[in-house]
Amino acid sequence: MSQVTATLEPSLIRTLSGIVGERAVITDPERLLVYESDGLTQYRYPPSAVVLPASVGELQRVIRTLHEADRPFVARGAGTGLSGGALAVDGAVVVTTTRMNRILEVDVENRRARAEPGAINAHLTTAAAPFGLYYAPDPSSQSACTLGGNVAENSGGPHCLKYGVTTRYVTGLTVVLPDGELLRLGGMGQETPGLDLVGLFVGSEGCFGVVAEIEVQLLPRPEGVRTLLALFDSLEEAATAVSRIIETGLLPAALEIMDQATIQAVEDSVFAAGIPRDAAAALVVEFDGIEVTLDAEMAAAREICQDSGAREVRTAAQAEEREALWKGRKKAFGAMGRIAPDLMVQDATVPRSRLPQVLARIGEIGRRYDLLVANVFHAGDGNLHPNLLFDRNDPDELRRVEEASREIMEVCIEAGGTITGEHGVGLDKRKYLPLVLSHSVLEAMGQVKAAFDPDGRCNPGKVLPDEYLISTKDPR
Amino acid sequence: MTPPAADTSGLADAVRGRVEELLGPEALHPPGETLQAAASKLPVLAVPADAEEAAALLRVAGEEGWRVLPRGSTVHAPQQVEGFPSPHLHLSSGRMADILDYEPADLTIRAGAGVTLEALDRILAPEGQWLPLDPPGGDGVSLGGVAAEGVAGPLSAAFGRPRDQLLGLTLIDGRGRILELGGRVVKNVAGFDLVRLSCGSRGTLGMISQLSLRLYPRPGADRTLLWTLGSLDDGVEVARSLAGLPFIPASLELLAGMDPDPGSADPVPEAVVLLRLVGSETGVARVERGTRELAGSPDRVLNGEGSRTAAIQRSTREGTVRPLHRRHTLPARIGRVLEELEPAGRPVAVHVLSGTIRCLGWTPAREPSGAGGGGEAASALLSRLRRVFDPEGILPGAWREGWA
Ligand SMILES: Cc1cc2nc3c(=O)[nH]c(=O)nc-3n(C[C@H](O)[C@H](O)[C@H](O)COP(=O)(O)OP(=O)(O)OC[C@H]3O[C@@H](n4cnc5c(N)ncnc54)[C@H](O)[C@@H]3O)c2cc1C
Repeated sequence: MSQVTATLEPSLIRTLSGIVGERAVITDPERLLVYESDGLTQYRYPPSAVVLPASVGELQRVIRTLHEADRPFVARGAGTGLSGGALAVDGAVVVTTTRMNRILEVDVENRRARAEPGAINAHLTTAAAPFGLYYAPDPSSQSACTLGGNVAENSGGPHCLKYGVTTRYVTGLTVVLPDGELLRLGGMGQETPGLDLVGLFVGSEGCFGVVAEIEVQLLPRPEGVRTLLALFDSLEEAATAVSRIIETGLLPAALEIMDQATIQAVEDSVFAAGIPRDAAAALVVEFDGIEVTLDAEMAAAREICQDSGAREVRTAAQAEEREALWKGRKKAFGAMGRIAPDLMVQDATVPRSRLPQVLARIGEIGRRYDLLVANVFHAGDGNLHPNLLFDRNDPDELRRVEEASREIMEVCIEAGGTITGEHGVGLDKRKYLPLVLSHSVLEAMGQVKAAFDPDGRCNPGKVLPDEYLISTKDPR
Repeated sequence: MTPPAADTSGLADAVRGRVEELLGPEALHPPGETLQAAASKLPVLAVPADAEEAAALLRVAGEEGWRVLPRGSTVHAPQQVEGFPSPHLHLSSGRMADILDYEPADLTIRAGAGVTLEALDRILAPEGQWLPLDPPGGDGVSLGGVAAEGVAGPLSAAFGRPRDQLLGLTLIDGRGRILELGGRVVKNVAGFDLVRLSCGSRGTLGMISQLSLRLYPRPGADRTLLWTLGSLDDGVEVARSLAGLPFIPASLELLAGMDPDPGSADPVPEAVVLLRLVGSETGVARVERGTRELAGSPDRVLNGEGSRTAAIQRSTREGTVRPLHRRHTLPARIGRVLEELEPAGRPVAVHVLSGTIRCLGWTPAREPSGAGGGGEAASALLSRLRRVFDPEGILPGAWREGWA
């Protein structure tokens, strides 16, 4: 699954260098390798060039130049995406935002912040912290991923259970359309006139244009936090506890599960959090909010865990313990790299009451295909992440991974779920999209894409199956 | 396309005849007759039973060039924007009023667009759940209308806008396509976000026939604290200090020139600040103590059902008083914008944390300074997007808030 490098005309390279500076245009094939894949390692598409604008003005001129030269392009943030969204299909030019990484403003009174698209998610919370504020969406990759990438993917994170995903927090966007036109949508307390274009742009996976500036809402830091770790002898019991917690009317800030394979990977890594290696599942339950309410909520959750069969329930008494636990959880994905060279991460979401049955089916599928499946996921949202571990140099294993993935998807859809909860469709899940969306919906999405990008040059080959990626230039 | 000539009863008869021929007399309201509505000349009000029927009507409307106004279960007459011709056909979701799927353990529900907030709450309350949406218009408004308008009420301070509770919806667009968008799980990024696009599209993209929504545990305690102030400036001051609370209240409102409790015989105060807190009793009591440090003791406290009912009364009034003028700003600029608007005793309702200001029953003399229109590129994009769903221009969207 790779492509050979296309090359860019020297005159175009000169024009781009004139805009961003010579050192900010990469064409050396060796250096381009860095950009040939993202967080999903099995796809490789070396770009024809990489351009690194440093300001909105430069970004706009770069996009306009590519428009005039009729060149496909793809925006890229940190490249942590897990659906192959930032890959340079069709010899696209990668326009990366890593130099546009400033937090522009923290507006304390209005609880808003403005940032450049390449700003790192966690840096925003760091910048807001002295004012008692923070940015709620916290993807596990938050120490690396960019706000632009978060907007493009409508990213979630462990604490989105209580607080909601990226789209809820984006109050304004400045975007560069594929023809180089600059558009300000919302922001500064204004609504977008007519239609919710901010809402439409969030989650558009880089297919509608490039996000050049982002305004988001911040929240006041909760007064208190309590974290509990429940250990189970089966994954299904942990999932049952999650369903019951939700059903009882408790609203934890986070409900995360790690299965045994994940626990072992974490405990073998530098992020070891002291979770017993023989536990079949670890459930992290966190409550935040008003200090005086938390103990009662914790007691209720503890009881539910015990009733669901937990063999042990621990409370993270100190801030350090809590941090270690979260580090372990958030770095779990990276820790799996020690078990196998490659990993295919699934991202289906199912109704929360169906978690126990769906997890049992996934376990069965893994055994049938003789694959190691490691689950680490946002259980409270019903957002599963079965990681299929493999070696891409083993063609038979790769085939089994593909087949098992599809079966897992089908199980989730059958349960009333969807194929992706937060990682996006990208390149990887396009083929599955018709499993959840009708022909008419896919057709309408293709038409909406064409309303932004009539020439089909903006992040080509993503999200929609080819037959729905119309371009008004096409004869059909 | 050029809009058809102004309505004549002859055309209305033709439209009515065609609807009856297609779907039978049950699909007309009142059966077999046209509706006398003050806002427009003898429109035909069709009440399709389901998405397929609505799609059939929209396809015919496209062929015939009828202008169509989708609407909810119609507690309010739509406010027509001046200069736009009236629609030939009103399309109501009144018969799409069933609960389609409710699994309390998932905290989600799928319901027909014609279900009202009130009807929904009757289903949710026994399960200890609620939908924290209080859009202008009160609880008689339909879910489809709430989604189509997308306008938030004061509770959005804590729970978000209608767009944030929508997991999926079915849109029947101007081409007569039935588009099942989103899903019924709480996280879903499969494809572009046409759910958010439909929310707030005010019938310009199509008719909404059903929706899936996210639900919340019903709070044990519901309390509204009221401070009565001697001037609008004082009201702004108190609202501002409460906005700085390190907790997110359910809502924070500032009312001026309005009686917060129409039942009482007290004189109408210059300004009232209302802070609504929901959650567990311990949590609410704790925040209440915190507010006293900031704003002093409240003049009144409403509890439980009293707090809830008063909130519904406020939103009903905010949604039904005409004319209505709405403006948005940043919370810290509310004081300045109010000065610009010069209410001078006329009724104003402010949702402090979202910066939404509503002038009730009057229109300010001056246009807003620096209100973003988005420019030419934005309007070109908007019309391209509209054409995706309505190539014949049968959904003109000449409608202001107030038709849920
Ligand atoms: C260890 C690990 C943990 C993760 N955990 C989570 C998690 O908990 N929740 C979650 O949701 N995701 C998670 N992810 C996935 C990933 O981090 C997110 O999707 C993230 O938002 C991607 O950001 P990025 O800057 O790396 O974007 P990239 O990977 O560079 O790009 C992703 C997509 O965004 C587009 N894009 C980037 N910048 C822009 C821009 N300025 N304008 C327009 N389009 C743009 C690209 O074209 C591409 O389609 C995880 C990934 C890893 C590796």
